[in-house]
Amino acid sequence: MLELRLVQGSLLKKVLESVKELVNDANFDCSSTGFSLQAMDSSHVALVALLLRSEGFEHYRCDRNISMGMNLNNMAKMLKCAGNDDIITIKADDGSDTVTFMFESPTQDKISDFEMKLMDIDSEHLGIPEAEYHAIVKMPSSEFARICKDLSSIGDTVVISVTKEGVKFSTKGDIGTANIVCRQNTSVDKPEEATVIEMNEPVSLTFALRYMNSFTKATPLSNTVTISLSNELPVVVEYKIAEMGYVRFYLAPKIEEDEEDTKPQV
Amino acid sequence: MKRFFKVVEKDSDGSVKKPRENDSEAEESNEKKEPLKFMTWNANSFLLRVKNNWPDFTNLITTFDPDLIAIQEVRMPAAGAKGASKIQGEIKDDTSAAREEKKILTRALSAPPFGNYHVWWSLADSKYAGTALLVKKCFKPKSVVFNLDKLASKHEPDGRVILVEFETLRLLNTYVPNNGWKEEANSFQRRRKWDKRILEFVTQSSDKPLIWCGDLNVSHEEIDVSHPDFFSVAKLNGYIPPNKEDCGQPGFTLSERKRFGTILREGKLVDAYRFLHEDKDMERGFSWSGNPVGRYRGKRMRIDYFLVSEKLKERIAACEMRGHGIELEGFYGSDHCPVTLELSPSSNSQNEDPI
Repeated sequence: MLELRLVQGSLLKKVLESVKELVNDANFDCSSTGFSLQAMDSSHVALVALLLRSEGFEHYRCDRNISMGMNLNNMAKMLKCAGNDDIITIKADDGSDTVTFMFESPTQDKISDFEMKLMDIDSEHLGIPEAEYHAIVKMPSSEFARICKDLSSIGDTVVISVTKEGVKFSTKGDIGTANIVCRQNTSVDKPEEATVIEMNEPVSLTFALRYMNSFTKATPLSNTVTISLSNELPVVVEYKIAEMGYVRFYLAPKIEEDEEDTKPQV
Repeated sequence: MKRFFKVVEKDSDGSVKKPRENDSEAEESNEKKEPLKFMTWNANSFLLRVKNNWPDFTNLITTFDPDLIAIQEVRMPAAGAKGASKIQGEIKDDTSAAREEKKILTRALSAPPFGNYHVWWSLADSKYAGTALLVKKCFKPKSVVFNLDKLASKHEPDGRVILVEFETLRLLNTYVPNNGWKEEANSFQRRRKWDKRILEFVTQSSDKPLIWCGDLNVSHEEIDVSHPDFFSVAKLNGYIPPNKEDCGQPGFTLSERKRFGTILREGKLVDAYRFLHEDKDMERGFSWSGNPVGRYRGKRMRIDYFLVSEKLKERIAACEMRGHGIELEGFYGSDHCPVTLELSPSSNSQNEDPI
């Protein structure tokens, strides 16, 4: 059987809000390591990987590896019924086709339980190697969200370029162009307000802003976001989840128009 | 995303949601079985069949209870934004209209008896061609590929191929390109190229017998059409092909019929229906029927087949056209009727006999 107890239940609520816009249905995989999810959006352009390590739960019992298929919108509806300070327990019996969410108020004077039907979801699991990135940018997550939102009002795609000068976000559209440059700044009072850039090699990649904005739904999870880039590889936009895990979004780069002529799709 | 990361096996320890206790018994016994009952159908737009003919088709599936259903002319566009590269194994859902249609289809395929099947798609960029394969979930394929070259993740243009491999046999579902009426790239030449590739495919050595089914868009012999004289001289706008053997109805030209005969002979394939039904059957011997209104009324062809390796010949128990008559009864709204094949179980004890 499976029984997971999370004191900071709001984390799970935020996780669902951050993921459900991208993915409709997904398998949650539970093992001794933790509670994880990997799913692609319908066009297979973006991938989300979630990990909540078992140590981060107050109580974590998982007798055998289990995979639970859930509709994320329905799950989000269930979790909306939990208060922001509630303790959330997730329970499932072996071989069961339902999962139970239990919400306890901090003073334990109110206990609710919700049962949700599981789905049979056939999905492919992708092996994501640990990669060396040409550039890694760590910055305030609210700043990144603001940049994506602002650029969306000008164009559909964003070019992210990292040089020794800093990281530049550029877009262009019918009404004009926009460029936002963030230089490295480590001399700030709070570490989460710093922008840190590690660059081994200059990088310039183009991404669909629609997806980037979806990723920034995870902003409430973490004060900082880490953006890892390598030429011709998917970008990784990572939000840490307290001390217990992460949600990572992978997005395939767009091929530029001129590139398309010389390098036809195989 | 699969371009960047490889698909890996999940941890096999209970990584799939366990079925209920009652189901597990059935599943255990079924795991050693192989599919024996097959159906192929050119639906002439699967979505329209779901919308207009679904209760009757559902009844056929419930009654016949096939282990595997091969569909041609799904006519749903592949996923992927306009102008972007397509994901041919998924249905388009990036517009509200596309989402609506996908929902109609996925709901129909979630309800019994279709909820018992796993579905694979190979789709075209637009509402054209496309194939689907439904396999009962208790039969677990060893592999599914979507091209004749057996390359993982590649699809044929227009989604014309799904090849599934089981423990002891392979099944190939194809929607063969129509010959068309003219000597040009998208007509005679396209079909010649296809026939050449399929001949290469069926002559490759393999340890597992093949079942090849689908809309093969050819009527092999005169017995396979209702009116050979009519079809032999059919023309489009008076066009006369340069090569005499390309004259006539697409699917009934001498060129196509000869190439098909070569494929059967060199591929050591048996036409299951003709193996069991030697005589012409004007009522239920055809899988395609012309529009009841107009000059093609009552003009019929057998172009949907089950071809099986000679090794399977003795196991052909039944092969039937599920529709009949010039009013297209049992066609469920398509211009093709379903065709079914039943194999008798393989005699494993005979194989294990120590002598």
